[in-house]
Amino acid sequence: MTEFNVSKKRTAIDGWFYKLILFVSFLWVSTYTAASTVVTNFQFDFGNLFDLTSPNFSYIVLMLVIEALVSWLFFELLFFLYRYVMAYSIYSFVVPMDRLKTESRLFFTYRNVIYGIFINLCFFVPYLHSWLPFLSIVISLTMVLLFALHINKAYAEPIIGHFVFKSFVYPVFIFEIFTLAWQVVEVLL
Amino acid sequence: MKKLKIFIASIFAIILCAFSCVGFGTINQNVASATSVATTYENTEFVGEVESVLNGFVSFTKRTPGSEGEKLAAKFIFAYLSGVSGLLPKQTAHIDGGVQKFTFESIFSGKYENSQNIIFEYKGNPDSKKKIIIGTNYDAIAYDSKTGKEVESQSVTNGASVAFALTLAKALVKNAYKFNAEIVFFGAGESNNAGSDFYTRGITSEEKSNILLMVNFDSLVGDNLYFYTEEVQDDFSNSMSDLAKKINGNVERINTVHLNKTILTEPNEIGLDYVHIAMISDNFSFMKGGIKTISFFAGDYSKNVVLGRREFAGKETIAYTANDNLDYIKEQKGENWLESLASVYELLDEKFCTSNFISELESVQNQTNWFYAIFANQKLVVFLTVVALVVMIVISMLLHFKLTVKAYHANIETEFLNSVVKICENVSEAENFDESIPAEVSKVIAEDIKRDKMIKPDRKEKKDKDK
Repeated sequence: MTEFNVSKKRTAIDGWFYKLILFVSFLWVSTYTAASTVVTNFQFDFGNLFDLTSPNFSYIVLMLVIEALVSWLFFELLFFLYRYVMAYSIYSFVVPMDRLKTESRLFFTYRNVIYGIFINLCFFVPYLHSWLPFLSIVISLTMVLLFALHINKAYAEPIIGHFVFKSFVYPVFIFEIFTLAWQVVEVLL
Repeated sequence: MKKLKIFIASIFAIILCAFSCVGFGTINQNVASATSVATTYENTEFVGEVESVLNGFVSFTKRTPGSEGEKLAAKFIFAYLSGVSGLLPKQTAHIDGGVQKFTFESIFSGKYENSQNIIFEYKGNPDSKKKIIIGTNYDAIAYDSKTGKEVESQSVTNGASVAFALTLAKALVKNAYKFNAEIVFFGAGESNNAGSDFYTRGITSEEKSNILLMVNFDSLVGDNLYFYTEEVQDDFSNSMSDLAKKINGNVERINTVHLNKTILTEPNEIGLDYVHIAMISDNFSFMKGGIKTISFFAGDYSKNVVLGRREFAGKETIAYTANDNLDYIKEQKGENWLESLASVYELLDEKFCTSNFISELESVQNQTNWFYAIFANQKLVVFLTVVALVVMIVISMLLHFKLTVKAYHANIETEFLNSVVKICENVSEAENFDESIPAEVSKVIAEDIKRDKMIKPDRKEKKDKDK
């Protein structure tokens, strides 16, 4: 096996590892939403959420896994679109594709861990839930900026640093602007 | 003969007087006798009265919203309140002799049905317009757990609230509290609180400012007794908590952390994007109108997160089932299960008797407005999110500028070549390197650098130019 092939195999394993930890981070983020999608149904009782002997505990776990899976798949779709859009800029090729994928997933995992802390705080302070869109945008964009700076430092020569920075950051900002504009229209209407 | 006729006529007249009816028709009922003696209700006496009323009320086993059974239950309530001297049926343009009729769309039949609210008044302070409202819904519905079909049920979880509210209404007169109160029994409460919604829609803004508190009772059957005021504490809820601890009863302020929250797809009428079990009773209709409420209910919500309604620990819920009857409840809680309700009465009695009860309510009327202004205000959240986005855009522009300055001072020749090589290696596979790519890449980068004026002017060239 050539050194190139060994490196390729190691990269593939790393790729799956980062996908797995990203999925786990989505489980963390989805805990509150999954527990809350169980409607307060008067006709029957689900028992205690943390009662492992309860026959409905598996229902909660399944809801959590499905919620996390949907979020993860949605992220992967958006990430594919992000890479597609970035490919129009030659500066995105400063970073090898496999490293780009793993680094992106790692930073998004960091974002999920921090965002998940605030979401799960809603178990204790439920009215914080209405402020999650604000926290989401602050945390997400901060992570994108940190990611772009990290990429710059690790892979880009200073002479093209600002071009690389623009390539990685602009698509996310444009996406967030459109999402927020939609939210503003929804609230005003 | 003449004397005999007079004697028979007198007996007949006495019999007629003894069987005279008041208000709605005649009903075979076990109604406690009317009293106008103003002596304070002792706890045991109060509980005894509740039990007596409850035994009579639960005989109406089919109180589906909009049904004849619900109407009969309304007549029972009307007859009881009419028998308490000191309580008067409310009379306005829309409330006729204590009965407020309304039409609602039933969530059970899908059709428009008719129901009624029963409204009586107590004037403890005729000089004041301020009042509190005491209310509960009197309708109920039950289903067979296996077939899902509607069944008859005593619905004691609801019946206990009705019996408690009726007895409390009598206690208002008996204890001669020094404030005004309106006692309202809502119809069609199980159909999305139709009765309380209709009632609150009819309140003018002036009337709303005079309503200091709404005391609601919802399902007083369960392991523990709780009260709920709002999502945040204020002076009123703190004083109720302190008083509850002082009387050493078993009523406590619900810790809503233990209640499962259902996230809503859009914010509800009070601006929160979630709901839980303490917010779905008739008190919610008043919360929507910005009126302070306190809702008493029972269950097992003491630890961890409880999903759904639960009356007794480790047991299936009984509300809306055929198990919602006196025999089953006595089996779970014992024969003297109603005695626990004495704590609720004691708490309310202590509170009602405090000299600053009304003034305290007046002072806390707008105390929690800040909470709704911050946490139930979608427009504020969106506005601040826009501001956050703008701030992040500014930060990214500053970082971009910093990188641009750094690039300006970079070593053009060395770094340019390194960048080109790196990009070319990544674009093509290591084994399939195309030699034409570096030239193309160099051309693109050189144009970008030139356009951004990244090349530092040569000092010697500049001096020659000046000359």
